[in-house]
Amino acid sequence: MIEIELFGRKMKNPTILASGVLGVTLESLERIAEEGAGAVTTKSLTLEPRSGHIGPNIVEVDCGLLNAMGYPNPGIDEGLKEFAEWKRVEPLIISITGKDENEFATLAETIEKSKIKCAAIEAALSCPHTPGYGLMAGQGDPDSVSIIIKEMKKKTNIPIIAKLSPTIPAEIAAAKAAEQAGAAAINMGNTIGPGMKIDIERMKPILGFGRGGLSGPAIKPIALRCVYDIYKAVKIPIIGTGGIVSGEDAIEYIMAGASAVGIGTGVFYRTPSVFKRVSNEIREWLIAHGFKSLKEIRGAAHG
Amino acid sequence: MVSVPMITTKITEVIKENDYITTYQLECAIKAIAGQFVMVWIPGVGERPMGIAEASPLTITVAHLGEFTNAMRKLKKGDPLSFRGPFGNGFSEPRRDENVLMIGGGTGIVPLFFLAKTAKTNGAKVTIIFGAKSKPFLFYQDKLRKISDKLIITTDDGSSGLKGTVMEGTKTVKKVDRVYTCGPEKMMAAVVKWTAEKNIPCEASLERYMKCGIGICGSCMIGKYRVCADGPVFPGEVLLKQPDFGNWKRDASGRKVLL
Repeated sequence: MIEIELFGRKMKNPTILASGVLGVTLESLERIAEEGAGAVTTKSLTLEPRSGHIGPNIVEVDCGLLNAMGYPNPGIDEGLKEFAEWKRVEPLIISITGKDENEFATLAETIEKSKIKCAAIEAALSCPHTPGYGLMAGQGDPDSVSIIIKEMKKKTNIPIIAKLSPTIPAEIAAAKAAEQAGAAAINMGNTIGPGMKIDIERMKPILGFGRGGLSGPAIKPIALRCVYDIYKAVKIPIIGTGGIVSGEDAIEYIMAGASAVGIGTGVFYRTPSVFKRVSNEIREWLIAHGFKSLKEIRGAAHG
Repeated sequence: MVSVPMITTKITEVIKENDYITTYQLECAIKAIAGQFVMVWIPGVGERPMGIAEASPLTITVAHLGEFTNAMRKLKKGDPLSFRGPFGNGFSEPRRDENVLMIGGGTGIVPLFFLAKTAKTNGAKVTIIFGAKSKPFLFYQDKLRKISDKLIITTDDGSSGLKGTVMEGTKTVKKVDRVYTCGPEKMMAAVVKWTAEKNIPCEASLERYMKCGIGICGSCMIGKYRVCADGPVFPGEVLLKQPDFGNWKRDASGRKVLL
């Protein structure tokens, strides 16, 4: 009843572990799949290893979390070795990020050549708090999105997901640019901001990087509205990500037009069992309202 | 989900335990159980997980080993200190009349001191083995003697107590219903192996590189477990199934490196 198909791959439910959460090791991704995720995404890999920003890397705020991890990762070569043994049926999505189209293309080529069993490559174009990457490198601009996806397409046949920010000024144009450049899907949603939290006793920002991306329930209305608008503008599937904690949150995204939903900060609010719980809540809602599949409600909010 | 804001409090007491180790007593009290930890923040330097020595008042004992802990050397009475927490699961509580053996290496003794207090309150019989490199590295001895029924000291060079590792101490202990251990992972691996052979239940508290402390970033994984949220305390039988236990950890970038 809640199964979906994405990039020609079957998923047992529409929940996807969002990039950046518990995606460092193979076994953590296996655990999340065991906990019920329909698909999993690795932490973003870069060409070279990165240790990330100094701590604190995360701090709780009223309706969510602020984080500034700074893309810690062991680099594409070590990362692909780590995930090479993925054998589960749940699709594996490899997230990558680069400083420019050449880096994105090289990363895509490395994945293509590695023969790793991944269902898609997610190009993270939307981090708000890492110099040289994402929004801090202007990658949310429709022209940049287009160039990056096009260069990746030249190097790989693996489906590409463009991960966009809900706070770029031209989100609809960026999504269209991604589609025209050959992206297989849009992931609408990343942390937004950057935001800040100040310790008033210290008179200092708490995060080591000073500022960080806001995630959690606080950002849901914004990312949801973006999914709604993009759904009207593109034909490729949309993954809706941002503030999903419950089945009702997921249903909102699906009614706005999302084919699948990304969950990250929800792991903090409801433990790794959030995937199973959200899936069960979606199923129960469909049953209670007499629906037989997610198709029946996808985009329903558009009337 | 428990709310875990950053708390900034004051240092009320700085106790020099020895040349390498300092205890900081703080102005605040927290609700915590033995084996939980806090993430201590030093602006501009970073954030690190630290074991809890006492919850009320919150007290931490630190070995000055790296950049972060050496930055802590500068802290004086009256200075601010910031932390998030407590985090993690903590040790199971020792029960009345239970013969518990606590095996600590270096600052691994700190959370066990907290646990020993709980054990005495509950009416358990407590034996502590405290191992260190040599005499100048020992600390807490009076406190440990007071809180335990028996204290066994071991040093690698024999400059105090028994000569050898903590395993030397286990030879002198007779009746043990349960073992708790915290310290260098290779030491804990030996302890866990010994308890498995003797069929004694054992809990060990692990240390891993941590960034978030709240179970979402994935930096501190051992196998499929998040050390910060599923641990840091794990049953011995779980650890024996982890190829990483006693051998490997992950660095800040997530690369596997030797312990």
